[in-house]
Amino acid sequence: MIRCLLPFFIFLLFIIEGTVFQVFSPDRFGSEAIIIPRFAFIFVIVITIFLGRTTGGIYAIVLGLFQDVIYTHVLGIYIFSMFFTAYLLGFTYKIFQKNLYLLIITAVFGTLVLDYLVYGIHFMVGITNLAHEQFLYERLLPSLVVNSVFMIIIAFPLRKFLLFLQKNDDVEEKINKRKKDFRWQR
Amino acid sequence: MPQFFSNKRLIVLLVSIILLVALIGYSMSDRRSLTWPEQFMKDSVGWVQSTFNKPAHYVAGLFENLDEMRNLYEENRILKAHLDDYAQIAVEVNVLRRQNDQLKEALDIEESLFDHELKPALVIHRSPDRWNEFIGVNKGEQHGVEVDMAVITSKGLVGKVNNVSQFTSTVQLLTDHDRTNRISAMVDAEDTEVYGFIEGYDEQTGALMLRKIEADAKIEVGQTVITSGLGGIFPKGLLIGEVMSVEADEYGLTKNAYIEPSASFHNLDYVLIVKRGAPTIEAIMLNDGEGD
Repeated sequence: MIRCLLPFFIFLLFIIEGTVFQVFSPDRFGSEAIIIPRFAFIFVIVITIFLGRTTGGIYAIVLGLFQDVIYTHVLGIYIFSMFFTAYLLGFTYKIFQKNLYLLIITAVFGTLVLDYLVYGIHFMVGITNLAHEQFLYERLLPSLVVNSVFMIIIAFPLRKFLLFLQKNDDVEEKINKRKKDFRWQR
Repeated sequence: MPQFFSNKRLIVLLVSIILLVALIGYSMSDRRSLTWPEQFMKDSVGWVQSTFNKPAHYVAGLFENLDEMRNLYEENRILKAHLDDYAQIAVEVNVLRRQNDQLKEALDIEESLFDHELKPALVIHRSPDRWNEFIGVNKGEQHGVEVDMAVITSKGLVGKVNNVSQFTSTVQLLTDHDRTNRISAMVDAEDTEVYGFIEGYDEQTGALMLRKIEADAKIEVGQTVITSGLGGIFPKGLLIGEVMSVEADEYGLTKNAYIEPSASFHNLDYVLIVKRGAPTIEAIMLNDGEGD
């Protein structure tokens, strides 16, 4: 039951990215910089690191699908980029779970990879012709700062929660194994 | 670390890249009426989004009100000065409108390109990565919204409806970089009307580009630009902006003008969707087809 909290939180963040965050976005107050929030995706990366590549990959595909249908209108861009990034970062497990700093750096690095992938695909398809330098200074760096701040705030409680889930899983597995063994013995 | 490029993974990667290209090709083609799963997703998420966005707009509005209160006195004085002119203009407009109606009656003209009705809608989302300039509004097919309708704020034109689902629709702003994002416009010059197309947006100056203006047309800085209604979908006379500067285009055959948009694209809370009163081209063609 408690596992359902994860998709709920991701959906909530996904909605906030497009609605509340856009109402208070910096370009409303006359700023050049554009901040791309990747809050939901940060969640997905951390989930991939803790719960494995398969679970994380499924989360990434579903989140990407939502992003594509509702915001981008070009199917496939986010499904591919998010799955690819999450899967790639899924290889870095064990050490990264123990160290909070490494976890934060990995998640922020993930948003960086995702933004570059999305920019690359948009550039290739011809939806945008933004120069790389402009992309770097006006979009990537400001959003990197905001996403890092979000990750630093969320890292500790999220890690706690995921470790708790992992432990739950282990306990369940053990119980199941015992049951099995018990049956075998009989 | 496990070996990354094992055979199986390589194949999966290649297949997913092929799928990516196919999906992008599918959605970039000119199909653009949404399939029903997409509509369903957009509608159900849109409902959640509107519950989130209403309080957000309210709070943002509160801040803006505080900001406005600071120069209230100054504004009030200017507005009072304008109000004196207003009474005179209102009388003049009334007289002209009556005269226009009588003349139209005499000539048996029933509809003009100016006719339109407005439908207010709440902005429910904006794409968080600004690769495209799309916003979502909470009125859809069930409320009578159709693709390509004009969308305005109280200050002027902001875009057109890009696609509709049952209860929500997506609006493409004028600032979007899509090549098909083109609107037939005209400059209200001294005594003639100069026609052109609004195509593209210049990010450095924040100006819209008015292209394909006749080379010998006389345009001056400060003249107003409105929709021409000749595109067949928009009504005539929706305000777009003011001419900022004029230059010859790269081949010297036509002129380009930079237009300062009168509407702001940054703080969109409520928009108005414009339904044209005069029959659109497609409707006329359909009727002709049935008549044959």
